[in-house]
This record gives sequence, C-alpha cells and structure tokens, in this order.
Amino acid sequence: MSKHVEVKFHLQAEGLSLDTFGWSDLKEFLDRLLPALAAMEGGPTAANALPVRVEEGSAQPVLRVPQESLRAVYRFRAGPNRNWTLDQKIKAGRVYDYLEEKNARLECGARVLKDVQVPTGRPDWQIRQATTLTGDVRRTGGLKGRVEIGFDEFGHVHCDAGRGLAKELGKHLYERVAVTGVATKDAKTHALLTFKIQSYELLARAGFQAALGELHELLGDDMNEFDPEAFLAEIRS
Amino acid sequence: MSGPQRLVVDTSVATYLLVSEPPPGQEAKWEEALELSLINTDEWRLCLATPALGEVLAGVPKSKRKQAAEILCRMFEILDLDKDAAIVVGDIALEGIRGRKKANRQAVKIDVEIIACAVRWDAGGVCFFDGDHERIINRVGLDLQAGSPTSFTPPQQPLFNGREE
Repeated sequence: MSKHVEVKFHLQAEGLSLDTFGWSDLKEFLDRLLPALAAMEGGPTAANALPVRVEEGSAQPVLRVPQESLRAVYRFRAGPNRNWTLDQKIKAGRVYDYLEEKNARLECGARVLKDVQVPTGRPDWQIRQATTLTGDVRRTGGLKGRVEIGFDEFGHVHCDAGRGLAKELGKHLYERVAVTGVATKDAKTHALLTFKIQSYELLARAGFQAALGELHELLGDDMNEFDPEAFLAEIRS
Repeated sequence: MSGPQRLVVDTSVATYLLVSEPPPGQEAKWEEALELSLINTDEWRLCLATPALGEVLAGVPKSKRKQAAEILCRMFEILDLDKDAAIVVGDIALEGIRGRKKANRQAVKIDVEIIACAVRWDAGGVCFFDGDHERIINRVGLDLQAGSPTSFTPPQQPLFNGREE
C-alpha cells in the first residue's frame, strides 16, 4: 500500500476564518480544486484525496493524498506552462476563477506552504467540438458564403458555410434547421464564438408535428370536454 | 419574395389543434385541421395573426396559456397586427362589415384584422373553415388564395392504381 502525505491548502481572504468557512464553502472549493488536481498527470483524484480536517488560520483544508501524487500537486501550484494540456488549463482555470471571485490567495504544500501561481491576463481558452445545433436561418450571402443563424441556445451567430451551402440555406430563409459542423466555444462562458457549417437538415415539418404533439401533451385531459364549434360561436358572438 | 409563401391560418382552423381527439360530430374538421402538418413547406409557411393567436389562447386553461403560446409560436410564424396592418384594416373594414347583421359584426371585425395581417405581411393565402374570409377577400378584390386546409395540402397519392398486382 502506498504511503500518504498530508497537503495543506491555505485559503486567505478578508473576513475568511473557520467561523465563516462553512460546509458549503468547503464543498465549493473542493469541487473546483479536486478536478484540477486530478487533471494533472498522476494527480490525486476525488477517490484517493481524503479530507482530514480544516485548520485555523483563515481556512486550511487538509487533504491526505498518495505520496506519488505530490509532484502533480506541485505542478498545479507552479501554474500553467506550455506543457499543460487544454483540459488541465480549463480545470485549473476554475480554481483561478474561484480565487478571483473571492479575492483570495491560495498556498499549498506538504511541509512548506507556497503560493499557488495564478496567471495574470489569462487568455480565454476555446473549445472546438463537432456538434449539431438548431436555429432559424436569418441571412445568407457575401463573398465568403456566411450564414447568420439565430440559434436556440446561443443567439445570433454568423457562421462559415461556403458559397454552395450558403446558397442552399438561402432557400430556407426564416426556416428552422439543424446544422452540423464544428463549433468554437469560450471555455469559460460556453458562448458560441464561431461555427463552421458542414451540413444541414430542414426541420420545418418535423418541427410542426413535434410541437403539435407537445401541445397535446401539455393540454392533455384539460381539453377533453372542449368543443371547438361551441367555443368559436361563443368567442365570436 | 422567393421561397415559401405565407399561409395565414384562421382561428376556426387553429382551434381544432388544441384537441388531441376528434370532438364528437366534428371529426371531419378536426382531421382536416391536422392536415396542416402535411402542407408542403417548400410552398407554404404556416402563420398565425396575433388576433387569431389571442382567440385560440382564450380556449386554453389560464394555467397553461403561456406555455401553449410558446408552442404555438414554434408551430406558426406570428404576424403582428401593427401600424401598417391597421392601415389595411382601415381600408377594408367597412367593406367587410357592410351588409352584415349587427350581431355578426364583431366576428367579421376579427376576420378583417386577420386578413389585414395577411395583406400587410404579403401572405399568399388564408386558410379557414367559415366563409366570411372568402366573402371579404372577394368583395375587396384581394389577391389571396382562400380555402380550407385541404385546398393547400398536396393531393393524396393513391395507394393502388385500381388494379391488384
């Protein structure tokens, strides 16, 4: 069985003490810290990083971690460099966000505590993923074949489609489509930054039938006694 | 305008979409209203004028009205009765109610508003079950195709050509 060591995480912020650092604060902090540590190569995971106690001095959660994962903790402490993967940057970024939100400092170590280096002027990491999104075609055209789509989830975005696809989508102006392609999202806010459309599917007809089914499901038994003719006669008399 | 033309659906048709089972004695109308889902979307885009939307929602229980409105807005393009539509109402209102009994005038006013929305938003057709719209359209001389849902759906393809294989 591997040896374990205790690592202290010393949070310092104005007004922060054991009296003000409640269970929900500890949970919020650990929920951000542990994924960041686990993302480092050989880092401790939620399963083997055991909470031991929270010490005095602002607030110092103490975790018991396998000794071989200590190097990963120190790599996290040293801050991002060019060898860090995107996943490591994103997960550590959530700890940095936490510290910035609380205007807090974090030190950590097994014996000697040293500052966790929070990079300044952090660039916004971007996520690229192949995905399908739904929305309405609002505008197409231009030399590069751009298509403006009002996405249900992300609002209006000018997408790259190429002239051929833009011309095709132009025939479906103001109609609902499902577009498949490559999206670039802001890792922090999840805002859709760019979208390259590779194919599309017209949703109009399926949309009407699906929405009609949804309407019937919503109204259900409430409309059992509804008499359309009598209703129309009443409302228009 | 290129692409599909707007088809404005009247309250008399849209109201049948609220029920999932055919109301007794009104099966034919219910089935015909549901045929809106068969309309060729390359040819027609289904629309609901705001006066009709209001009337349809009056049939929905208050607790579910907001959600129903959201669903209807996904099924139809909603055509606002705005200032330009109001000008059309002004143009056709008197023609619409002329010769009608006082008791029927309120109903005709709503029909006039729905037709005004169709004209204002360059619709190609109006779809209804009662004959008031057609009367107004003909009387005013509007260039709008008018009829019940089946007059806008593609003709049924026969399953067999009368001979057994």
